[in-house]
Amino acid sequence: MADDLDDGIDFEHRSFWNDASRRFCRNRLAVTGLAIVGLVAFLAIFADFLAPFPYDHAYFDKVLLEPFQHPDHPLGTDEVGRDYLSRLIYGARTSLTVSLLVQAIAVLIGVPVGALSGYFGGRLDFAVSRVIDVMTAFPSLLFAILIISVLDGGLPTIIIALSITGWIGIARLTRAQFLTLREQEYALAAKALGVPSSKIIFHDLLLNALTPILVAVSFGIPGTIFAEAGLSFIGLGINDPLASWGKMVGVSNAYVRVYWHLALFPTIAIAMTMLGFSFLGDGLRDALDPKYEE
Amino acid sequence: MPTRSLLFTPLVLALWLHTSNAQEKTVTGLALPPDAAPYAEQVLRIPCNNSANAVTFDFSVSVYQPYCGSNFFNDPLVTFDKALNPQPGAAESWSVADDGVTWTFILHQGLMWSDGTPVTAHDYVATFRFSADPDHAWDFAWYYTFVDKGGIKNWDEVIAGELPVEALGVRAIDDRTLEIITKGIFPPLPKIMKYAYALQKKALAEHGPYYNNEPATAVSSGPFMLESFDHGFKVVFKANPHYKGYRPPRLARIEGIYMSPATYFIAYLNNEIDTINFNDLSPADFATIERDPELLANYLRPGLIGTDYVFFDPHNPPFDNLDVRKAFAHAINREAIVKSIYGEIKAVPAHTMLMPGFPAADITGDLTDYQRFDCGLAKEHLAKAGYPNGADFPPQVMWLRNENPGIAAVYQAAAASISQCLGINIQVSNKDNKVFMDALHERPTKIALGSVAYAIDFADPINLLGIWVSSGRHSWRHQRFDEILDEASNLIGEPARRDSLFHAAERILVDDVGGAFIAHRWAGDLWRPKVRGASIRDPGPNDTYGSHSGNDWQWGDIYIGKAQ
Amino acid sequence: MLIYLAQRLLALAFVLLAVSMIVFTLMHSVPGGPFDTQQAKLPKAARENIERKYGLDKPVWQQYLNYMSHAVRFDFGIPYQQPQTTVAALIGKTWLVTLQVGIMTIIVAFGLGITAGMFAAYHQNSWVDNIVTFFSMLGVTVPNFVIAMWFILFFGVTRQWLPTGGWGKSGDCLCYDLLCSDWILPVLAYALAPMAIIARYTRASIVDVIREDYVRTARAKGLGESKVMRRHVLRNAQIPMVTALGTEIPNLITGSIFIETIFRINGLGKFFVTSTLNRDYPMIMATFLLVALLWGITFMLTDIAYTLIDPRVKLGAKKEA
Repeated sequence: MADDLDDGIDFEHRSFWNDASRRFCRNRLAVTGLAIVGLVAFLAIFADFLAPFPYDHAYFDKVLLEPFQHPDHPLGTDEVGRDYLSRLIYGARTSLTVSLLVQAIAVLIGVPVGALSGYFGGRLDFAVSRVIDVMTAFPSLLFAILIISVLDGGLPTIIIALSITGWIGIARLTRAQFLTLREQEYALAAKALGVPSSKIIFHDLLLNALTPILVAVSFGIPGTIFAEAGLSFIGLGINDPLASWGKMVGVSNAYVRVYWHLALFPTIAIAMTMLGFSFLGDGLRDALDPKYEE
Repeated sequence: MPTRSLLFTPLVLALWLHTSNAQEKTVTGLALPPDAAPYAEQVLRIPCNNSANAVTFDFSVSVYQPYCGSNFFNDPLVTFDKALNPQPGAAESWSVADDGVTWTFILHQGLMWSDGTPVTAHDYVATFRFSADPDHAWDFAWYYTFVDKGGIKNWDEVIAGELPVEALGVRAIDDRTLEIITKGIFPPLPKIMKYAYALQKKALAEHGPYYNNEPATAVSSGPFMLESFDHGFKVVFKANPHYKGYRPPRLARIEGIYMSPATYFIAYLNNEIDTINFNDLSPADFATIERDPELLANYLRPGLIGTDYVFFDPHNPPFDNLDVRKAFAHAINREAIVKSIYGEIKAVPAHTMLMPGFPAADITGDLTDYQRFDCGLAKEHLAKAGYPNGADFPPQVMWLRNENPGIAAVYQAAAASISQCLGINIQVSNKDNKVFMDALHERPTKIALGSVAYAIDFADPINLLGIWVSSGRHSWRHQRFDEILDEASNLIGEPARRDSLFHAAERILVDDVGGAFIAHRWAGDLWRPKVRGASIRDPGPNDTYGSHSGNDWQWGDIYIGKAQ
Repeated sequence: MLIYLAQRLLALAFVLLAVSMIVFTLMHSVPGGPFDTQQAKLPKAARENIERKYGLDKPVWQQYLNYMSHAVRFDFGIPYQQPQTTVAALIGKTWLVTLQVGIMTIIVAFGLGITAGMFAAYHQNSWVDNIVTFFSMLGVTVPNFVIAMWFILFFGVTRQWLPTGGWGKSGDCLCYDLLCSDWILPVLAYALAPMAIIARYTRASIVDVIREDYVRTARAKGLGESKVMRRHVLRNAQIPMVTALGTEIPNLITGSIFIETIFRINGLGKFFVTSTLNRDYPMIMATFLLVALLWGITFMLTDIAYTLIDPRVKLGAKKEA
C-alpha cells in the first residue's frame, strides 16, 4: 500500500514474505495444491526409479490389457503393449517440462512487455499493441502446425511451437491490468513522490497485477498440455515412443469406446495437475495479496 | 387395402398396380432377386467424410480429391473380375495390332448418357485429352508416366505443353472404336484401362470439368445419376434409367450422409448408415466387431489391398551398409505385430512386396527367409556392420505419413521391435502428409528411415515392383533389378517366364533390403446384414483387391434383402 | 473519440498488412505445395504448367503484390480445395453456420459462466462454490473433443435423447428454427471450456473487489447488499471480465475443427486446419486475414469498453499525470 513506501524497504520485505508464507500455510487448499504439484514434480524427477517398466518397452504379447487384468500392469497397457502406469509416470516428466517451459517463456516475455506497454502507454503501448494484434491473429494451432512442419517433432520443437503464441495472452492481460493500476491512487502518489518508474512497475504494480497473471498461468499449464493433445489429435504430436499426457489423451480418442482406461488415466492425471496448480495459484494469490486478511 | 371412398378406388388401385409392378423390376427393367425387399426400399445409405478434401465425382478430374460416391456417373473401358482379370467394361472387346503398340477398343452397342445421347469413342478421346491438358494438371497425370512403356504415346510431351493435346496417341476411328497407341510394348495395357472413364464431351465443353457437381448440369452414363447434393450434409444418387452398361443397378437409390469418420461406427450402430470401409474403422471399432459374432459375420474382406513396409536412405550411413538393413529386416517381429497390434482381421505378415494371390507372388515361401524375424541373426548382422549390441548406432527418427492411430501403432511397434532387438534408439515422427511426400521425392531423399504403405493400382507385378526401380519413389537402387523389370515388362506371350523374371527381381529386392516388409493389409467393409449380393458376400477365387477401383461391378450387384 | 477510432482503424489496416506479409512468406516457405499428389511427384513439366497457371512460378514478392492487388478489391481468389466456388463465397456460406454456433456458445458460456462465477464468489467455499469449481475444472481439464465423444455416446447412443449432430438438419426445431435439438450437444461441448474460464475469472475478480476498501466502506455505510454488488463490486470486476470476453469471442466465432467435424457442422472451423494441410494458399490467406480482422475489431471494442466501465482509463493512452 501507499503508506508502505515510507518504511524501510528491507524491513517491509521481510515482514511481507513472512506474512505471505504464514497466510499460505494456513490455507488448506493451497497446501493441498502444493502437495499435488509437488507429487507431480516428484514423479517427473524420479520417473526412472518410480516406473516399474521402461516407458518405451513394447510387450507384444500384452497389448491393450485392461487395468488389473495382469498383476504386472495395474493400469493396463497401451496399443503397442507398453505399461500404462510407467508411461503415465514418464508422461508427468514430458508434460511438466513442456508446460512449465512454455509458461515460463510466456511469463518472461509477456509480463515485461505487457507491463511496460500498459504503464507507459503512448507510442510504446501503441507499438506493442499492434505487435500483439499481429501475433494474436495467428491461430496458435496453425502456427504450431507450420512450425512442426518445418522443424522435426522433437520436444524443443513442440516447446517453440507452443511458446511463439503462448506469451500473447499474458502480455494482453498484464497490459490491461497496468492500464487500470497506473491510475490508482498509490501509483499516482508514488509517481508524484518521484519513485523511479522501474520500482513502481516491478514492485508495486506488479504485485497488484499478480492475481490475474497467476490465474492465467494456472490455466495456461493444462492449456499447454491440451494444445499438445490437439496436435496429437490431428497427428502431429511429440515423437513416439516418448510419453506425454496430452499425447496419451489425443491418441486415446481412437480407442476410448472400448479401451476406456487409455483416456481415463491421462485425463485424471491432467485434471489433478490442473487442480493442484489452480489451488496453488489461488493460495499464492491470497497469500501475496496485501488486502487479504482473515 | 383401405378404400374409404369410391372416388379414390381407381386411383389407389392404379397406385397399387404401379408399386406392385415396380417391386418386380428396376428402372432399367431388371428383375430383382426373389429375396429382395420391395423396390421402394432398395436404398443404401453410405457414410461420407465431412472433413475430406473433395472436389469431384469424376476420376478424370481428380483421383485424390473424390467426393463421396465417386465414379457412379461413368464406366471405365475395362473392369476386373474378383481374380483381377480384365473384363469388358464400357468396351466389349479389345485387340492389339502386330506392332504391339496400337490397341483398339470397341465400345458396347447402345451405351447412353442420361440425357438420351449415345456414349461415343469421342467422349473417351475428349476425356483423355482433358486428362493430359497441362492447364488441368490432373493429379493422376504421373500415372501414365509411371507405367513407362504402358504410357500413352506423347503423354509426357503433352502434359509438358510441348505438344498440343491433339497429338496424344488416342483417337476415335468411329463412334464405337477407340484407338490407343502406347509408348512401347506393354501387354498389361487393358488392366490400366480400368482407369479410362469418360466425361461427356458436350458437357465438358459447355460447363467445364465440374459439370457433375450440380444436379442441373450433371449427366451420367453410369449406373446412378445425381439427384440432389447438399454439400457437407447429404448427397443422393438415383438409378439411371438410361443405363445400358455392364453393371445395371438393383438399388433404387444411394444416399450419402456426411459425418466425421470418428462417428461412422456409432452411426452404423444407430442404424443411420449401412456400410463402413476398413479405413474408417478405429481400433476400438474393430475390437467391438471382433467381440460380436453378428458384426464379425458381416465384416467382409474382398482381398489383400497393399503392403506396409519400412524403407531406408541406402546412400548414406548407417543404411548404406547392407548388414544394417538386413539387421533391421530380421528384427521386425511381423508375426507378433500382426497378431496383437495390427490384428489378424486387418493384415497378414509380409516378407515380400507382392502379396499372396497377386500375380508372380512368392507362393512357395521361397523368399520368406530373406526377411524372416530372427533377432539373433539380426544382431549378428548389426555386429558385422560395426555396431555390436547396438553400441554407437546413431539414434534414428522413423517418418510416418500422417497415419491414423491404428496404423501409427503398427509402425511404432515395428520401430519398437527393431529397437528392442538391436538395442538401438528409434523415435517415430508422424509427419504432415505434404512434408513427408516432399522429403520422400527429394533426390537425394531427405528421409533416412520411414514407414509407409503402397496399395494395388492394377494386377500386374510391374505395379508393385515398379515403385522400387531407380526412377520410382524410393531411392533404393539396383541395376540388375531395373534390368530384369525392364525385360519382364516387355515380354509377350510367355507368362511363366515373365512371372519367374518378376520373382527373380523380387528376390533382389528382399535380399538387398530395398524395403523391410511388415504386413499385407486386408481390405474390408462392414455391411448391414440386409445388404446382399454375391459381389460382396461370396468369397472370391483370389485374395487381392485393387485400390481406387475396388469391385466397381458390385454397384450393379448389391441389393437390400427382405427383412427376416 | 473519432480521432481515436480513426487511429485504431489505421492501426488495424497496418496489422492486416503485417499479417498478410508474414503469412504469405510463411506458407510459401513450408515444404510441400498445393499440387503435390499422394503417390508420386507430378512430372516436372506438368508441375511447371500448373504453377504458371496459378501464378506460382513468379517470385514470392510478385505473387504477394498480385494477391494484395486483388484482395483490396475483395477478390480473394479460388480455393484449391473447392475450385467451383470462390474463397469469398465459401467463407460466406460456411461462416454463417459457424457464427450461429459461436453466438449460441457465447450466450451459453457467458450467461452460465458469469452467473456461476458470481454465485461462487459470493458464497465462497460453500457447496455452490465447490460445484462451480468442479465444473470449471472439468471444462478445462478434459479436451472438448473427448467431451464431445462422451456426449455423443451417452446422450446420442446409449440414451438416444438427442441427435448426434447435423446442426439444424434433424428437423426437430422450435420457434421457426431458432432452437433445434441438434444444437444442444455441440453448444454444450463447445461452451464448457470458455464457461469454466469465465466463471473462474469472474469469481477471482469479484473476490478481489469484495476485499477492496471502498466495498467495505460501502457496506459500513449501511448500503444494501444488492446495491453494493451492483454499484461497486460488479462495476469494478468488469475489467477482467471484458478482457476474458475479448479473448474468447474471436476464437468462438471462427469455429473449432474438433467440434465441427465430430458434430457434422458444415462450418468454417475445419478450413483452418484443412487449408494448411492442403497448402490451399488462397484459403489460408483469407482465413488468417479474417481472424486478424476479427481480433482487431474485438480489441478496439474491448478498449472502448474499458473506458466506458472505468472512466479513469483514457482512450488514446496519452501520457500525462
